[in-house]
Amino acid sequence: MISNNLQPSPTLIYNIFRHSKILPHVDTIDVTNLNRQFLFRSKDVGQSKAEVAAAFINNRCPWMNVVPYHGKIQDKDAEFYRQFKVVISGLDNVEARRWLNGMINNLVEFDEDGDPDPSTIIPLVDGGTEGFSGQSRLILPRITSCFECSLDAFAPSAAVPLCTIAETPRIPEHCIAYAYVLQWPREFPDRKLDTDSPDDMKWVYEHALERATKFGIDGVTYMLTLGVVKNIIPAVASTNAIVSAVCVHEAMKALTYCSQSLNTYMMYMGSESIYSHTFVYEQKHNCPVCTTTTHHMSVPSTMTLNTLLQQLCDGEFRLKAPSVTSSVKTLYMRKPVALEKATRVNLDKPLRELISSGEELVVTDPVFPDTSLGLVIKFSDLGQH
Amino acid sequence: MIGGTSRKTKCPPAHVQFQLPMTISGRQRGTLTTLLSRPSPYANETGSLPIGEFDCASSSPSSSGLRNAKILVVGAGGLGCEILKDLAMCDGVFRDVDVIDLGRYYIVALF
Repeated sequence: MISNNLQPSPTLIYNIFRHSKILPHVDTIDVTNLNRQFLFRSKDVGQSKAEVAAAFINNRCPWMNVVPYHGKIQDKDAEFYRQFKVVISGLDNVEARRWLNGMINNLVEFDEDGDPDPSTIIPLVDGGTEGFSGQSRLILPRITSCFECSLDAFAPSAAVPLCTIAETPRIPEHCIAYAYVLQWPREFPDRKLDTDSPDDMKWVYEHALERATKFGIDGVTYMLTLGVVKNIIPAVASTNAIVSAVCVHEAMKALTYCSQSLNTYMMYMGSESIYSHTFVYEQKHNCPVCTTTTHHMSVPSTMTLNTLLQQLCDGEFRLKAPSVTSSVKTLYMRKPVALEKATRVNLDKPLRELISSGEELVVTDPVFPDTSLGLVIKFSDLGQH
Repeated sequence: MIGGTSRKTKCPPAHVQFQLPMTISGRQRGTLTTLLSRPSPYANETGSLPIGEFDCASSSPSSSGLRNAKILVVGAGGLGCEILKDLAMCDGVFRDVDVIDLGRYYIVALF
């Protein structure tokens, strides 16, 4: 059912039996504590997830040595990631996946012939679930496609025009967006909304409800508020169990070669019935992460640097905070502060004052750790000058 | 009520509540150690994405290659917990696991 080669799944079987033991332990069952994060107990509220999970496993399974890190994946450097034989990710957002994918791809070293050194290839197994749907993917950096190759498969989150939110809300989500996008910064200009804080979320819920009442819109609930603000789709225990079993299978196969690896993507769909299929994600020939392609852009010479940077964010690269240098000078750098200040003047200058047509720029961005993007800019209006 | 905050009785520690019937060892639970110790017609090199050759003689969980293999689990949420548990139940194939997550447990975060 869940493996691409009909292997039995000891982990999944174990899991099913485990759950039958764990369930009676939950004394009251309501929607909120049908909880998938089963390594967690109520005494752990406020504790680091990584630390609690590691302590639980180490305690229950004494043969395990789980070491927790409480922090952002972006705080760890290449040296940290290099020490692993396999990386399994169970992340909940595209941005963290992009970063991790970039990092693991960058660890690959090449020999003099330009072939990747197999000992530096760390298989990355990526799992993801959304309600009754789930997926698992095996990324062998520089061998298979990488996450960035298929970024197009993940539509940027559907944006609702701000004016709709501000003036003509129609659905409960608009009211919730109004409360946290517009009302919160107005009320608390110095404090960012903490989506993990029950007090903050209650505030958003109450203000969303107030607005919904005003516009005669039904359906604003605390749960929906959490869902909208944190972009949560309720997790389903069986989906998580199946997807994680697939991920661990892939990790095991990548480590022992005991069975055929997933090539390269598997999707599980449990909403209609139990169904899964696999397909191959092809490598994108000009992927900014796993190929060394130089990219080309044709823009008017009158375009400002700022507009160009904005295009890099809105366009196919989906950058977040690009910095850019030419072969001879720094055009715009976001860090350190002094350099940002010194290069800020360039933002409003037209490109023709900064570079010549056909010049290659080097673009760096936090979504691509330790790597850069080669970008050749051609002026589309060159003939006129 | 959200979550288990109103629970009156204190949970006994995990090892008391879920005492396993016997010491867990690969031999007693079997499955994966057995799988790794026998040749397979579906070994990795026969698949469409061959990355290595399966050698059942050196693939026991106690073999040195595997013993030193460190795994990183990124995220300790709904999937991360399952992944950690699955890794732990893999007959000792995975022992050294690092887990990274920036989050903290909150009752509201539990779905």
